[in-house]
Amino acid sequence: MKFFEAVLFVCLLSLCVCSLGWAIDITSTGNWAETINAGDLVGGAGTDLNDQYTSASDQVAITISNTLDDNDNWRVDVRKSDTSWHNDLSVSVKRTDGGSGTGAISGGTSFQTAGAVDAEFFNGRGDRSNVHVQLQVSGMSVSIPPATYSTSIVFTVVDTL
Amino acid sequence: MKHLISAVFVMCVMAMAGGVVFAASNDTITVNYEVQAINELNIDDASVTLTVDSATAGSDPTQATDSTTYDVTTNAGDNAKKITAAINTAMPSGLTLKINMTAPTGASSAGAVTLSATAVDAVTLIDSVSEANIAAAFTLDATLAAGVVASASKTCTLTLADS
Repeated sequence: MKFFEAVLFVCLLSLCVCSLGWAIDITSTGNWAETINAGDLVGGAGTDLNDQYTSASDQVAITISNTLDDNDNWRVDVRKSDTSWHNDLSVSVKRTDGGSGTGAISGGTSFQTAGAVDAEFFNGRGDRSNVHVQLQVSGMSVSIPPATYSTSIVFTVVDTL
Repeated sequence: MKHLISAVFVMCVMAMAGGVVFAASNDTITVNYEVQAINELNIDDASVTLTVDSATAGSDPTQATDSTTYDVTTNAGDNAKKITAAINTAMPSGLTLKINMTAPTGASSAGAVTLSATAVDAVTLIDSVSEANIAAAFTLDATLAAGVVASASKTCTLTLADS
């Protein structure tokens, strides 16, 4: 009986370790830099700067890996972590394709503003490679003083049922 | 045996909890924006014409007027800019050319200022602004002593300068 109990204990312990230690991975590549100058005025002297600036549709590539199988569900959250940013400026993200992989992907195909706390961006299951994301900055005007502004966009993958 | 059952129960709960939401991982990209200094000024008309050709009997010649508009955009900040005005060479004796520039929102106009080859402040305390079609009026006064003056032209330069 004691042998049976010991085996049961070890099996359950292994199950705990496996389930708690394993995690889906996410990698993102593709920083974005933009320079605003007089050429961005709507119509030259007397007009304001264009309000919105949009990156290339494939500016950012996200890869989801290390899922258990094609039925392993996950979601990707997004948030913004400011380094030196202006309060009038906002950053939005949009998924422009589904990347590749044998799983599935859904949501995130409209621009959504990245806030200070995580919010769901898109979801899917299984490994997905090179999911492309477009960035957009809004709120630009001449009231924003000349300077360099920087913020980080944080993509977090969360394993879900 | 009781300890084992408790341990098994705890591990089962942990295993189930682990199955619901596993650990999350994240990665970041950086968005860098540089906003450069923008200081744009434009006079909307290529020229204005001022002709002194009449007088009220018993008075000096009647002042001639003409007007234009200008556009300004700057992101320099509060009270950071001014507009100066100058002409390329001095006016002939007995003739006075002035400009009166309406100020953009938040700035201050110096009113009618006499133009010469030395730049003079026409608008001061300009904030970050983008405003078009702001009025700028020119006047020309001639004294009797100036006599008849042949038609001539001056180049007026408006400069958006640091305050």
